[in-house]
Amino acid sequence: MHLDLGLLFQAVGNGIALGWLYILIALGLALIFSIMDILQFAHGEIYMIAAYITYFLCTDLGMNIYMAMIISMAAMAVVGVIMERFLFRPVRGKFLNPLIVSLGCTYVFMAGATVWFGLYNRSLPKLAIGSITIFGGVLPIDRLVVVLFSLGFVLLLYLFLKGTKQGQAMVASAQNREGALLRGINPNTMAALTMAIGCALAAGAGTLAGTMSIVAPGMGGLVLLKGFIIIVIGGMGSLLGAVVGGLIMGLVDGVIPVYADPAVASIGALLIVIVLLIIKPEGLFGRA
Amino acid sequence: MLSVTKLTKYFGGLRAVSDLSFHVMKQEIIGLIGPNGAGKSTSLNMIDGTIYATEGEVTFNEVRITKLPPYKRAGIGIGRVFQRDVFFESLTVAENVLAGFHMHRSKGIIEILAKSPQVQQNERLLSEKVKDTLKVVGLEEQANEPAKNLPHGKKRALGLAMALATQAQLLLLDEPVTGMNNVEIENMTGIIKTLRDERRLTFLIVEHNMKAVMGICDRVVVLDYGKKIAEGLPKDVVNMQVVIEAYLGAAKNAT
Amino acid sequence: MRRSNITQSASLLLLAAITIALPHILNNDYWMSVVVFMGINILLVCGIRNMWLVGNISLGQVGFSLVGAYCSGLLAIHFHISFWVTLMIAGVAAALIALVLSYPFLKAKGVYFAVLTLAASETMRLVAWHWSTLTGGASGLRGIPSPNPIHLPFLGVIDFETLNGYYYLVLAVLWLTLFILYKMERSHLGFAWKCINDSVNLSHSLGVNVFVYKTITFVSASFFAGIAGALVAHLQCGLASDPSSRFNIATSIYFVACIIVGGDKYFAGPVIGTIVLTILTELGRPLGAYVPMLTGGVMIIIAIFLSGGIVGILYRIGSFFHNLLILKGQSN
Repeated sequence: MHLDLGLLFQAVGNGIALGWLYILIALGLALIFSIMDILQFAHGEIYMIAAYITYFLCTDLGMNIYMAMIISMAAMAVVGVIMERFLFRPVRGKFLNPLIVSLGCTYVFMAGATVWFGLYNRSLPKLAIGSITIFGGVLPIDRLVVVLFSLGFVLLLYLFLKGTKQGQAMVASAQNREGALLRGINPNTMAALTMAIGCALAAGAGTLAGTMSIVAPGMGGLVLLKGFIIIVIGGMGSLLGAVVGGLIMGLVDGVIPVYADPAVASIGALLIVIVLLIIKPEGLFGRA
Repeated sequence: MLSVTKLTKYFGGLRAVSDLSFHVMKQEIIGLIGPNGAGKSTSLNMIDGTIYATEGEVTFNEVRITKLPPYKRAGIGIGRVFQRDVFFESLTVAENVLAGFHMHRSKGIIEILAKSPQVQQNERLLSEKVKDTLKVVGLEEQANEPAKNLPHGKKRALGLAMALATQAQLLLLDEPVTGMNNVEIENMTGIIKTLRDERRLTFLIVEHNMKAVMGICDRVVVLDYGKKIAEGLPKDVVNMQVVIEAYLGAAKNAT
Repeated sequence: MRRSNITQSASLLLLAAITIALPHILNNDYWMSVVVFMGINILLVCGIRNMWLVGNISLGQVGFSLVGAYCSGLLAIHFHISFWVTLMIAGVAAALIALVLSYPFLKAKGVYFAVLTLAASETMRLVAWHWSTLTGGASGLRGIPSPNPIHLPFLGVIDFETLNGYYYLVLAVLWLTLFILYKMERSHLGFAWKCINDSVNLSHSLGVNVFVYKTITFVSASFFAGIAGALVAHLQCGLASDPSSRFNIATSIYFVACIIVGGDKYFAGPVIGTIVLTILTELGRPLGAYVPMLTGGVMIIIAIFLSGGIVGILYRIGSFFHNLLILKGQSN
């Protein structure tokens, strides 16, 4: 079979861009799970709401898209902190209740978006126009910009976790919660920071995704599922797993639909998860 | 009844138990003693299946069970009473004991929908057995109380009742009288002796309380740093030089 | 004890009478269709709650109902197999898929299960949506026949093309299913589930094969989900699996809401919860999207403050009055 290198490059390029977006989402989910032991189902809705906020800031207020993105990230971080303080903190430690709370939030946000934003698809301006051609494959430059921004966010996160006191405290909490408590790390601060960072990452991803394709009411649900599959593959609390898993998922979603039915990509992802769980139930980098 | 032969356990590079061998005969009450960290609990864990031995064999009633999964060991007659009281917090005392009888309960599919007279008869017998078991350990008054409300000494009795319910022939008791006052200790040792005499059960007891051990054990095996250093009648072992040194040494390390 | 048995039987008979007479009480086609869909939802929700008893929180039972629906519909269209047979096949097909998935899903740690079932269910929906040649893809599956009419002696013909006729079908399946689920919970099976939910390790050491028990609840709930799906297929005479259909994530969350609002600790909880939420959704139609917002809000409030749900509140009110009566009796 004649392998069209250009097409492959295009698909891989697309997949990598998608992958980095997924990484932003998965990192937030992994952080929230490893520090707060909560599956944040409303994460996808945060992603979606941020995209809509950016849209309205740009069209109604005429703001520059980068400004709008920063503001929507900050806004969602605040929302995250509020959620943590009033909704998650009262049910901390229990198994079912936080799940119900996050599902309830999903419902509220989904419906709220319908009320506040309407059910219309919107589009955000592309971050860059034009494309470059590598090996016969056409790569739009805006994808590259998206990857650069995602890389930038992840790098910032990395520096924060390694370089600041709070960041190191977060890493310690993620690995050993009781030990962290004994060392005087405040779980409330940790939880608030975690939600803020997680939501900000999701918000950034939402805006970036909006520039790459469209802003739609259902975008949260689709991406949330991918986020969860990624952290299951990577190992629920593992940040490295989120990165690796995100790239794998992005490549699967970018490459397979070009050569086969999109349904195959979904089944493929699920099969990977199933096979992986049979061999290594904790995920690639998870702890047993 | 039970034989451990050259039993060894490594945790990574650390040798927790090495080359342990001893026998337990039917209806004996054997004590497993030694300073803290000697590997007593680890040995029990290898016998009931909580962990698997790195080397050596565990034989029960002439069958090698070294690699048998824990829930199967319960099925062949090995029962464990844990150090930290383990029971079902959301159930009553009687329900906890009933859970112990699970393996010996009729479990057909038809029974789910409707109970035939035969099954109803079996269920009645079962509640009689539950009552009996509670009586032996002295818990019949508290049968319908939530198990988590029991005082500490009684929780230990519940653990014993649950192990008895599984029709265990060999009972592994991990520090059964730790934390009890003298009255409770006498109570527990009395129960154990009764069970040995009337129900012909066998006991392997890990314990720190020397008085209790002396009072109840037929023979004693002494461990130190994972190795067996002495074995014999309690009154003999307690005077052996190696044993005294082991305990003194541990006391010195502790200060 | 005997008194409570009599009150139990009496209230059940009363309930049966009401449900049988319902079409004549309501006399309204729109509300009848609401009731029929509600009945099917109760079927699903009770199965899901049954899984909760052992700690399997499944967010993907809609996927199994989708499998059942398409199985039954396609078999009826292409092979002209009678509804009564396809209904069973639908349940068995869903149960088989659950059986296959149970090995990897139940092997994984606790909360992974919820995520995996969600992923599996969405995948099933996406497959149905994309596989146009089989399922009609985005334009949906059409032309599913209603079940053939039954001739009952003395009662005449029950025609399932009418709403009332179909209602009795759903009612019969529902009563049977609730009976089976109730019996399961009360049997040694349910007792084992309680133990496993309390402590997996202890259950293991008492000789309970935890994996088998968890699988039983997963497979049985999926069987009923498949049947529910088939009921939907032959009611609507068509199926769609686009993101806004009833097989999506929002529906899964809705089911969880039904269980929580009704009270997850009681058998009647999911039934009451589904009824309450259905009525609220219908009454709140003019309010549009504010209804799911409200539902979500109620879910959160119940999760934080009231763990018993509606049935729990009713119990507390009931025992309050009960105690009041006892005290009054003592002082007399």
